[in-house]
Amino acid sequence: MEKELQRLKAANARLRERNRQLRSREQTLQANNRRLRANEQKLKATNRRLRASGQQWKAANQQLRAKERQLQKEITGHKEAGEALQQAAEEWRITFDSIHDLVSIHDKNYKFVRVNQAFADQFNMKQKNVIGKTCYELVHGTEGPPPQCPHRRTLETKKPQHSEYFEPHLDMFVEVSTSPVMNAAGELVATVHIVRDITPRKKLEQNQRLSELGKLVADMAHEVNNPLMVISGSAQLSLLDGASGGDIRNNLKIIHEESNRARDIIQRLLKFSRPTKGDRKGININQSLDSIIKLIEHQFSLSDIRIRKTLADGLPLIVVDEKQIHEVIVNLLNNAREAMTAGGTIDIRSSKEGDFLRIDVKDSGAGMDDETLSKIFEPFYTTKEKGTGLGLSVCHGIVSAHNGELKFESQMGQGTTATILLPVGDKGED
Amino acid sequence: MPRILVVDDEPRIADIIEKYLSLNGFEVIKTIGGEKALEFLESGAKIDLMCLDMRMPKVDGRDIIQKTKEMDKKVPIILLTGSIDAQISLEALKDAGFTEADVLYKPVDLPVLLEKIRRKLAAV
Ligand SMILES: Nc1ncnc2c1ncn2[C@@H]1O[C@H](COP(=O)(O)OP(=O)(O)OP(=O)(O)O)[C@@H](O)[C@H]1O
Ligand SMILES: [Mg+2]
Repeated sequence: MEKELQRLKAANARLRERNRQLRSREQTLQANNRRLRANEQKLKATNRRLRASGQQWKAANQQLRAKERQLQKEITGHKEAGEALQQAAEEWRITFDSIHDLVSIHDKNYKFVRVNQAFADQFNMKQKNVIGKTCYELVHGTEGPPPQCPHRRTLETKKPQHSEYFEPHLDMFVEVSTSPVMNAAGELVATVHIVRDITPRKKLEQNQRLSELGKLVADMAHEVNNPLMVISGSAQLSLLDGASGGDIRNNLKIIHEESNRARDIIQRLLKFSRPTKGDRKGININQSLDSIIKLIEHQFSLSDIRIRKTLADGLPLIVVDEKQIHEVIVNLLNNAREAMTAGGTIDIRSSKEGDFLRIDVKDSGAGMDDETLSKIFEPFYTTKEKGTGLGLSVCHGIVSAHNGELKFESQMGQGTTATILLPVGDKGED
Repeated sequence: MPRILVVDDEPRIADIIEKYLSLNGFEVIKTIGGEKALEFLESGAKIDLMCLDMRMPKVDGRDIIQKTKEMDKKVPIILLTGSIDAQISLEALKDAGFTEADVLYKPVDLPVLLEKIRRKLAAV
C-alpha cells in the first residue's frame, strides 16, 4: 500500500510538474501569440498604408499621364499656331503686294514703314529701300508736306481723309486717301495711304468737257449765224442796183428784227451759263401765278387755249428772285401752248410737298417720246422750226440756282406735266 | 434757165437766196425745211443744183444727201451751214464725197454763192 501510495505520490508530483510545464508553455505560447497578433496588426497597418500610398501613386501617375498628353497637345498646337501665323503673314504680304493701288504705311513723321509692290514699282525702287524715306520727298519731291497732303489732316483729325489732285512730280492725277491706325489705347500710331492713278478717268472727263463745250459753241454759232445771214442778206439785197425804196424799208425792218433775235439768243445763253443769284425776297407764289396768268390769258385764248388754276390755300412764302421764277413759269406755259396746236386746257396747280413748294404746269398737247425727254435740258435742243432750244436750259439753270428741282412727265399724244419744286423760305406762313 | 432748189428751215434765208438768184437769171424753187424738200425730190421734178442747209430740225441736210444718193440723182449740191460740227464735217462731207469747196458758211456773201453755183453748173 505504501508502495502504491508512494507511486501515486510520485505520479501526482510528475503530473503537477507536467502541469506547471504546460502552464509555463501555455504562457510562452500566449506571449508568442500576443506578439504575433501585434505583428499582424502592424502588418495590416503597413499593408493599409501601402495600399493607400499605392492608390495615391496610381492617381499621381494618371495625372502625370494626363499632363503629358496635354503638353503633347499644346506642343502640336503651338506648332500649328506658329505655322498658321506664318501663313497668315504670308497671305497678308501677298494680298498687300497684289493691290494695284499704291499702298503705304507711315509713321507720324511721314516716314514710310511699309509699302506694297505696286508702290515700289511706281518709283522703280526695292520695297525695303523706300522704308524710312518721307512721303513728301518721294511722292511730291518737296522738302515738307504740300498743302493738299491728306496725311497731315489725318494726323490732326484722327479721321480718314481724301484728296484728288494732279501731281506734277509723278505727272499723274491721283486720288489719295489716308486712314489712321490706332492702338488699343486709342492713340494714332500710323497711317495707311492708298494712292490711285486716276489719270485715264480725268483725261476722259476733260475730253468730255471739251467736246461738250465744242458742241455748245457749234450750236451757238449756228443759232447766231442764222439771224446774221438774214441781216447780211437783207443788207446785200438793199444795196443792189434797182432795189426799190419799199424793198429797202422792208429789208431794214427784217434787219432790225433779226438783230433783236441774235441779241436774245446771246442773252439767254448768258443767263444759262451764269444764272445770277439775283434779287431774292419772300414771295407768295399764288399771287405770282395770278399775275402771270392775267398777262398771258388773252394771248393764249387766241390759240384756243384756256388756263385753269388750282391754287392751294395757306402756302408758305418762298424766297426767290421773282423775275427769274416768272421767266421759268412763262417758259413752261409757252412750251405747253406750243405743244397744243389744236387748243385745249392748261392746268396750273400750286401745293406744298414736304419742305418744298410745288408748281405743276400740265398740258394736253403732243407729249414727248423718251429720246426727246432725255434731251430737253440740252442747250439748243429744239424740235421747233422757230425754237432756240434754250428755254428749258435757262429754266433748269434758274431752278437749280434756287436749290430746287425741275422735272417732266410726258406721254406721246397724251400731254406733258412740268413740275417745279422750290424749297420753302423761313419766313413762315403768308 | 437752170433750176435751183433752195432748202432752208428759215423762210427769210430761203427768201433772200431766192430773190438774189432770180435777179441773176435762175429759176428758183424753195422748200422750207427738210421734209418739204424730200417731198419735192420724190416728186421726180428735175433740178440742176441744190443749195442745202445742213442743220434743220427733223429731216436735216445729211438725210437729204442720203436720199439723193438712194434715188441716184447726180445733182450738184452746195452746202450752207451756220456752223460745222464734227458730225457734219466727218460723215456728210468726206463720206458723201464733199470737200470744203462745197461748203459755204453763213452769213454768206451772195456774190460768192453765185460764183460757186455758176462754176458747179459749168463743171457738169
Ligand atoms: N410741254 C411740252 N410738250 C411737248 N414737248 C415739249 C414741251 N416742253 C418742251 N418740249 C420739247 O422740248 C424741247 C426743248 O424745249 P425748250 O423750251 O428748251 O426749247 P424750245 O421751246 O424748242 O425753244 P424756245 O424755248 O427757245 O422757244 C422743245 O423743242 C420740245 O421738243
Ligand atoms: Mg420753249
